[in-house]
Amino acid sequence: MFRTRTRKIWGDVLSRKGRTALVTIAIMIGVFGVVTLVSLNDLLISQLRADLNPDFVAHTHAYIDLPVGQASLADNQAFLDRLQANPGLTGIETVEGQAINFVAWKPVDAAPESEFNRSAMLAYTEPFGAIQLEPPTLNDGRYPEIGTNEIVVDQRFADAYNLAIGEEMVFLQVGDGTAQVTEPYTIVGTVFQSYFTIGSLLGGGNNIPPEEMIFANYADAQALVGFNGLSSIYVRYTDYDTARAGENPLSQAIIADPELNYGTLGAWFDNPDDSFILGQVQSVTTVLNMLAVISMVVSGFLVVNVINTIVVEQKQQIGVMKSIGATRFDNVFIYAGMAFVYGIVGTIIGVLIAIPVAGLMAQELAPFALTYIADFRVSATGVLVGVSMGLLVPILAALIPVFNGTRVTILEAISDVGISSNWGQSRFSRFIGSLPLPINIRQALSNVVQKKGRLALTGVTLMLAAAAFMGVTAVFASIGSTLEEIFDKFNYEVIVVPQGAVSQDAIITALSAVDGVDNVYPGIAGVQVGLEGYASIEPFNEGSNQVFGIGTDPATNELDFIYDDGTGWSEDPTREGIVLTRSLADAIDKGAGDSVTLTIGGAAYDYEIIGVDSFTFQDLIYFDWRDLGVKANRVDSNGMPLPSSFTVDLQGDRGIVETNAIIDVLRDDLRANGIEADFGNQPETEDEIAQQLNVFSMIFNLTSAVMAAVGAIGLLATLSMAVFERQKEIGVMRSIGAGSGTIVVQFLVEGILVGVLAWLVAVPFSYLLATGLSGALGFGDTFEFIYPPEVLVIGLVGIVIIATIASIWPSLSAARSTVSNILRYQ
Amino acid sequence: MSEPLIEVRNLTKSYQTPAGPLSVLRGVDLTINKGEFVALVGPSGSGKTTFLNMITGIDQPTNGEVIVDGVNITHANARKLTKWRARNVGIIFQFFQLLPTISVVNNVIAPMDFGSVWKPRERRDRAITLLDTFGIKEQADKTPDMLSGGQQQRVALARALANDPMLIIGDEPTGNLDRMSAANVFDQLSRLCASGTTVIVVTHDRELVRQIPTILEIKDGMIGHTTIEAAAKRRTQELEALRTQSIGQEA
Repeated sequence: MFRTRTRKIWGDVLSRKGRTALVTIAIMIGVFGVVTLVSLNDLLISQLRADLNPDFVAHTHAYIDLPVGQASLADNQAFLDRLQANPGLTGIETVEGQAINFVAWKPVDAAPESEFNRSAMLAYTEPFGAIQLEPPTLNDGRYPEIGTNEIVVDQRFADAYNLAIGEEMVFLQVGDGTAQVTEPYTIVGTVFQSYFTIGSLLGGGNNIPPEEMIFANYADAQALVGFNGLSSIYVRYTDYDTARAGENPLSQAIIADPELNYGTLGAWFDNPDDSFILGQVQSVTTVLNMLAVISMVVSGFLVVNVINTIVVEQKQQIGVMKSIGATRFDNVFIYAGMAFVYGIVGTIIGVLIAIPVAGLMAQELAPFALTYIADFRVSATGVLVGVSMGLLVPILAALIPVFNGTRVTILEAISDVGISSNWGQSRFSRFIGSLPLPINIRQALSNVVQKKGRLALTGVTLMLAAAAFMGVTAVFASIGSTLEEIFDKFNYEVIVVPQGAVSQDAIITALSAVDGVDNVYPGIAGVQVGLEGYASIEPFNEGSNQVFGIGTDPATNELDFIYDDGTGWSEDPTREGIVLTRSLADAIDKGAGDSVTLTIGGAAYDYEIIGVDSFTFQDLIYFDWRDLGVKANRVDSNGMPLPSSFTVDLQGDRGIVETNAIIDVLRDDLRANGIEADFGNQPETEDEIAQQLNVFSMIFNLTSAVMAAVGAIGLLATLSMAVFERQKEIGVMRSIGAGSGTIVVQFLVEGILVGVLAWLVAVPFSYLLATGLSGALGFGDTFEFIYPPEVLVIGLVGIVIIATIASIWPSLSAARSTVSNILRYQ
Repeated sequence: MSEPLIEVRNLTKSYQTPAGPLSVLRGVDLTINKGEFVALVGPSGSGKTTFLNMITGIDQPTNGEVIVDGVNITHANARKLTKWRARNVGIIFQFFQLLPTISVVNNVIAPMDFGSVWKPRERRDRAITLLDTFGIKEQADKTPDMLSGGQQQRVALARALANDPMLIIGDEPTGNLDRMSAANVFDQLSRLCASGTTVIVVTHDRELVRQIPTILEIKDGMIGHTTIEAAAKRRTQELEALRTQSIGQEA
């Protein structure tokens, strides 16, 4: 008994190699997706959990700036001691300082005319090895000693630049009107910096990637770079709530320090028990996991269709087997067994391919998740989930068609003539019969209605594919549209952030002298102010009342304001007041003419909202930069406001390459004037953002493509089954004069009709999916969701094409049968 | 005198159609003895296949009883009926109905596996023996599509005999064969009969009918039982009546 069943299973699987290949490929794709994405999630999250020791995570990351003067290590250590002892600050357990600045360097053996690389130099108020908050951990070698021209680098920096312990590099020291190359510094060790690190907020607050991290003792770094003081302090409290409550008191204490004139730029908070980075990564990987599972389930739909096809085709064989003693269980075993074999083959191949892909992907994508995976790993969880789904889904998918198909009696099986005696009797069928359409079209419509149960699964698959495609396209169209609006706002190509306190006039003069420069705009970026009545929804600052303030010169064209409330500075650039972005105005339910209270540098100020800009991408407050500078204590010794950055508008429209070329000239020009600065290429930044979104969009569209492919295969299988079952119907039609074209059209119409019906149902689902996806990815409050009508047209055209392709082969197969062949059937 | 194998009492089968109930069998009473070779004849749609389905348990009567070798199979439990049929009935279909994706020898082994008859180690040898009996042992490891129609029907015969059943049913077993192959199959069936197996065939083949000793004629839902001698005598009487009528007219 066991042997005949097994022989039948293998015989059928091996005799129809094309069908076997089709189904196993679909299962393989599903398993591959599940293993890869679940493994990716598992590997990244477990590495992040290993990296981020909750005991070392700082609650508060406060960004500060010393615009004038220079604070030594001892000065800063005393400053931190005063903060810790401040009676107005409760619950502080540890406070440490960081100085993060950019340096220009190159290997000591590099050619004299070669370009300097630009990386970050990190220094701490605590000795290496004794840092308690978010420390770099020693990987190899040793920590540097003070005053001995020694440095350490992050291991990924060493990998990226192909450097090793013992090798040397030189730095470009710029200041006091000179630029000179230093003596060599020796790399004495490598470290791992696992924690999310931002440089100065004045530089835009960008994450410093580990591939650009050089570490030195404070005194050595200060001598090299010439920075004034710390760029940030990290504080650990007794608990997260105490840290959040201490936000303003800390800011005030920093500003009020009697010895050092630090200004506060802003802060972000992290809960060690619920790291926002883990949450960010998990939100993306969770969505991808869901898509992988959906792909696997859709593969299951294909299995349902194929097994259904098989049991229908083999109806007589089932009857014959029953006539020679097979029980219903024997038949169920056979056909479920075929599904199991498909599952095994697809799973083995899918897992074997997915394991190396997942391992490599995890290593490649680790930096995007702000972590590092040094070696190739296999996720047991990913493999287990993939194998389980790969084996279970086909069997579960096959159960219903198998149970239904094997229910057939011997009599039914051996007396099946292909046309039901009650065909055409329903009201709908009679209605279709009365329509003034060619007979083959009426046949097609009728058959779709008759076989709606069987076509339902195929239709659901196609519907999911269409909904996913249209939904994803709508989401990314919204993002694209908003991005264009965002990018149009900025009338500059270059951002310059000078290091140290430099004369504004000197910088403007030096920058303006370069060929291709049209305008230079001083400003202040990256200062956080407290806004009464505001609660941030940003994951790293949730609940905080801190908002980014942008200081601009209203008299210039640096930013394009489009006011949808009030007039702002459009009529009078000297007008007092602030401009809010639309998203911020909606968040606090205020408009032009209303007053708000802002806390800047620990002090409260009342401001009138003079305008609301239509910008919805981010919650921002625009100031006249001079006003913001004074309030944020970013002033020179005469109390005059100091810009923290300059934007440069170039002549004409410049692309990425042209802008980079001008940046090189600007850099050299500043260096010649003894000024070191960090540069940003705005076109390049915009392009990078767009590319990242394209990658996202591609991944999601790939998933919908997989679903569409599986749906198409399902439609092909269902129509093939219909052709097989309705041989007599086809024979009868041909015998009364229907040509091949008529037969082809009939089955094509059936297939396309299924596709169009699937699209119709998909339309509302795609809207729901788009809004859900937008929310799941955290885009919901940032991008204005639009649903372009052309998405519907693209979806319809796509589904019609897929349905047509899937229907062609069965249609042609039906048309190829001759009347004599058909009449010989049975 | 042979013992009865099949006893049919007041067998009725009706179907519901849109035009009303259709009676295919109307109160059939008959007995078929062990070792008989029976031909079931009648016009198309007269109920021949329906009758076969009744006596094999493939279909259930509307009224009446079917008793086979002392076992009342009317309204029996489906699972028990399957097992009973596997061990006691061999069916030969007009279009052979071999399982296309397994080899010829495995087709013959299949009823032994499903019916759990013979020890597993014996099954292949028995299948080969059966194939040898029908002269197709060399085709054992081929799949059915590699065989001619006649060869396939012989495989079907071997399969029907796999569990050494007491009853062989053939629904147009030679309907799809050439004259020589048909004669071959008939020959095999005759020998089976001679060895004690009861054989019942539905056939339109006049040559075959002439050689089968017992003829059951279905007409208007009733079955008439006759023998070859009786059929020949009746035919002679019909011809004599016609001749007499025409002589009378001439006179």
